Amino acid sequence: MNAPKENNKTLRRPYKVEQKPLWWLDNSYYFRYMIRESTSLIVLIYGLVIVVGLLRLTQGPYMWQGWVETVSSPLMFPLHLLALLAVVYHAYTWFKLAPRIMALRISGKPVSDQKVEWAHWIVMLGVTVACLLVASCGGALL
Amino acid sequence: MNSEHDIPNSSTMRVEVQRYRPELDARPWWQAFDVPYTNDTSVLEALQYIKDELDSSLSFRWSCRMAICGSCGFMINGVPKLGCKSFLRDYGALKIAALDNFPIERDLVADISGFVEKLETVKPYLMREDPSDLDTSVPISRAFNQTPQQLSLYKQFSQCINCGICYAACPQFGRDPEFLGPAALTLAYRYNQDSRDQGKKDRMPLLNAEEGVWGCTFVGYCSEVCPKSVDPAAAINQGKAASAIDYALNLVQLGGDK
Repeated sequence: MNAPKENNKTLRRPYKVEQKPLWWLDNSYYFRYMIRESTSLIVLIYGLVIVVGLLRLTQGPYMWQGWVETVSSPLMFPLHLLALLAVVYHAYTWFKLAPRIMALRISGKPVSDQKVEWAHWIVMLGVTVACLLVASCGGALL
Repeated sequence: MNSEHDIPNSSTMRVEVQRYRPELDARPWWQAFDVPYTNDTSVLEALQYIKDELDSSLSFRWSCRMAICGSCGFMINGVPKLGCKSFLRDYGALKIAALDNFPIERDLVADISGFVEKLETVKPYLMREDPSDLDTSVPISRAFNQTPQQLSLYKQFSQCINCGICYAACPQFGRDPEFLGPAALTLAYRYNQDSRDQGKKDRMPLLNAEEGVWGCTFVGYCSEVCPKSVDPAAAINQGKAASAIDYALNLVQLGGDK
């Protein structure tokens, strides 16, 4: 093939805009998305604390007691509070989205988004209460 | 009319328009115009006024003026919208730019060909497997009846007008142009959900891929800005459930499509 003639050269020169590193600061919708996603980091940290607790439990009563004292110290209170807020906020955003993913139908009729959302809250509260009951009365039952 | 939204005939609005003339400009720049408007002046009409009366060199796409052709998508004050469906009465000042996340061809014309190519790859049309339907020498003579319930499984997702506004609202597409993106994935899911279609196994590999449904992180802004309330985010994330089931079926070799 011959080289294209000079007058055949395209005059097109599409301008490409690169995504800004801080794209999520320009739009409040994106900002709330980033807050929603970043709650998982706090949950990750709290999860690691719990995993360390399990490890201490396998190392005997002395080590376990040390871990319990550490997590009960007032210095740890902000982490507990932050983790609780992060989980509740994440649950709130997730339960809002869940109905659109589930597209639930009962005998052919679509179930309203509100019902699916409330069902999630009821199940979460039920499981939370059950866990708290087992945690506080479990020793007594044994 | 004497509603409180009535705007005196003499009103003008400062409209800033993004210009980019590839033969002249190194990068886009803003040009300001003063545009007279009334209660029912759309952003598209404002652009037409600029082109007719103030600067004929301005380029933008439009066709139907009634939110069905999907040509006049712009970033209007930073939000992707159809120009014909946005009105000056709802704004104090206007900044109009080409749709985000696409290369700018000229002025307000975004090059959305990448999106159109992606749309083609997901085969957004009814596909049949039955040999009698594949014989193209005779016209199809039977009806493919559908119950209202079967229709309701995909109807919302079939309202897409391919305007590309959801792509301008998708930071995942902005980050990775290989991502199939909201509209293409929604159309793929729409045909998979159609009881008349038998082409699911051709589409699942695309949905299952990294650039398929799993490239979506449910930012959800696509559904927020969609001018036809298609809710692409719902379609994609329902597609994730379908993709996960497909993966599991593959794993135990019960079918599914790799």
